[in-house]
Amino acid sequence: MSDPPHPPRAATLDDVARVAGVSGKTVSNVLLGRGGVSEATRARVREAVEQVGYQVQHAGRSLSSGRSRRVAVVVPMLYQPYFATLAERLILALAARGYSSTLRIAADAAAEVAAVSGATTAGVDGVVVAPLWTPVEELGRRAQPHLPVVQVGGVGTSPGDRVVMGEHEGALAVARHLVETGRRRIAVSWYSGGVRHPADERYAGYRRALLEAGLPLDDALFVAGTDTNRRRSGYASTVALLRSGVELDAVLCVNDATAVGVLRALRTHGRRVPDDVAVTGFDDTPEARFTTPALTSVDPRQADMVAAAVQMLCERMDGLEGPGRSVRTGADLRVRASSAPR
Amino acid sequence: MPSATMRDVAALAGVSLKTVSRVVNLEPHTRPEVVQRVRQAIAELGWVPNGSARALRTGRTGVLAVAVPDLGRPADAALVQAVVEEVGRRGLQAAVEPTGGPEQRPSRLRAVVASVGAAVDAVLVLGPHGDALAPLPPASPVVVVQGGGTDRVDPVDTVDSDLAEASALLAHHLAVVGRRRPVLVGCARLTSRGDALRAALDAAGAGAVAEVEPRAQRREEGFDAVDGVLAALRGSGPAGGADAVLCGSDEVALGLLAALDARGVAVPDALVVAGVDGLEEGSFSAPSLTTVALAPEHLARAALDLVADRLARTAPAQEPRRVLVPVQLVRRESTTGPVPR
Repeated sequence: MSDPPHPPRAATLDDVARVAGVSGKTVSNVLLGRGGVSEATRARVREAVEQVGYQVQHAGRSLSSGRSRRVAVVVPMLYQPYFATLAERLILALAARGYSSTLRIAADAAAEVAAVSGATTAGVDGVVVAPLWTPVEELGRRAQPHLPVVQVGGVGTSPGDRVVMGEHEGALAVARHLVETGRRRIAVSWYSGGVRHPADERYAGYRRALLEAGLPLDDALFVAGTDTNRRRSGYASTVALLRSGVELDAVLCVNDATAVGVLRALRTHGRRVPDDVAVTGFDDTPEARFTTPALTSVDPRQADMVAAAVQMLCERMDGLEGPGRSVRTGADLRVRASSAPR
Repeated sequence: MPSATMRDVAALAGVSLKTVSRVVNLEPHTRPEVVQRVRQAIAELGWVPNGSARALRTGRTGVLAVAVPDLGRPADAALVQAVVEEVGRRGLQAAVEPTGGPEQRPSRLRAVVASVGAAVDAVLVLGPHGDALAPLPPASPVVVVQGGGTDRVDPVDTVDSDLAEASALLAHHLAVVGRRRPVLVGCARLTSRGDALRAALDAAGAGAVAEVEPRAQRREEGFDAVDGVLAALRGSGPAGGADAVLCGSDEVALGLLAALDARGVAVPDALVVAGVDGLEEGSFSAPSLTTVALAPEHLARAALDLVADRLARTAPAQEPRRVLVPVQLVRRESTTGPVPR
């Protein structure tokens, strides 16, 4: 392989054999504690294992081509309800297919890559990852031939299998809904990403709805939080928005976590929801139904996303080869009291 | 930039976590070239081996299993998150193992525990475990966190929130805000094991006027409990109708707050409401929710310290240890009223 440089990959049994100068079968025998191998050879194999960093497969996995029927589920965090429910659903769907799961919480890009490449997911037959820190395209490239990976959500294209959330469709629907209820000064509470007009599909849906309605895109109506997975970030960015004095009659939020913070900020600053300001979110988390007022949101059909992901992964684990596939799921607007017409 | 972990060292040196640990613990039989590479990586990354990571002596896999029943409840998810973060902070890897519903949990738990010494170095069991741990000796590297419930038999070390203290804090707080006739909604976790809640209410000159026991501790159940609560509010017992609601979990309390708002019942004016768990959501509800914070980070830290002792064999081998982690009352609008502007 020439350039680009070969990405690091998990050490294999063959690597151990090569370094120890023995056959793969001999390595197997040593690791399984079988007889018929000299002490010197055993020592060489053990050293080789250390040197290449080979993760000995444990508990239920045979060293030949046998499968463990275990899948790693990787999410970036659990304090965002979207990811906690996604992890739950994946675990249950995999169990229904006869796969046990092991969950990894990947706190940064290095952890995501480590999970996808097999470094921290030894002994599994496949990986389902909900990417957040690493671009989808790079994560797809880091996957190993021996370890099928399916990505759920995320932005961009990938060489591997992925499920794409119906973000554009969902955001378009919720923005149109606000326009239909008579709102004209629609602020957005988004993530920062360093750019004024983010390139993501969700934002594009909002833009399209505004253009359709002949409404201008006003920079003063755009506010970014420091961490859209934290409610307090939505709170802080709304305080900034209100302080700016800009006229607004709605806040369209990038997700429900942000929207919960926005609701609180509006309330503590004397703005009534929905009478003065409508608020909408995205994700339709369990929390959204019980806010005061209940939060209009977009259900990204997580169940469909999970079903598609598990289906694609099972096919790969059963031996399907070929180019990566992309499945896009739909989205449903859930209208609740927070965006009721005035 | 986050500080380097043992995993980073292993990746840079091109070795397993086990090898890094062996080098750090000065164990013999590692090739000099490998030792050199690891030391170089440590220097390059500026990694400081955590004292307790050394004490853990995870010379084998560097992986700790965390057995959890489910992730659907924010309180459970928060505890898992805290445990995983604490494991990472000690330079180790957490493998979260879902153990499923009541039927599958015992056998799945046994399978996870059976992997100690092979795939993992220790297991943290979150939540009730039935009798799945019965055969284990006390010195096992297995720790139960928030094992909950009544009739518990814990052969191994345990870490729990001090729910008796939680009951006392809530009862006292009720008296402070001048309420004495609470409805108890889903308070089984506070009334089991010696019923500290009722004793505390009694001591505060208060008494429960009604009890509602929802099927589950979810928002929906809290929402649906509103009819029982309103009946108690309008009730005509010897002391008058209810003036407060104590919920066994924040989720139930948050569902109830939404229902009370929908019915036009003013909180805290007509009824004060308080929960238990300390969920972040409770800061953002309308009104914000008074609660007892269970501090999952402290639970995680206590559990990891117990595991470290067991792996290092520095704890008494014959008896399991019991750690009770203190809790804290968080006063918010649902009992004290809006913050003056």
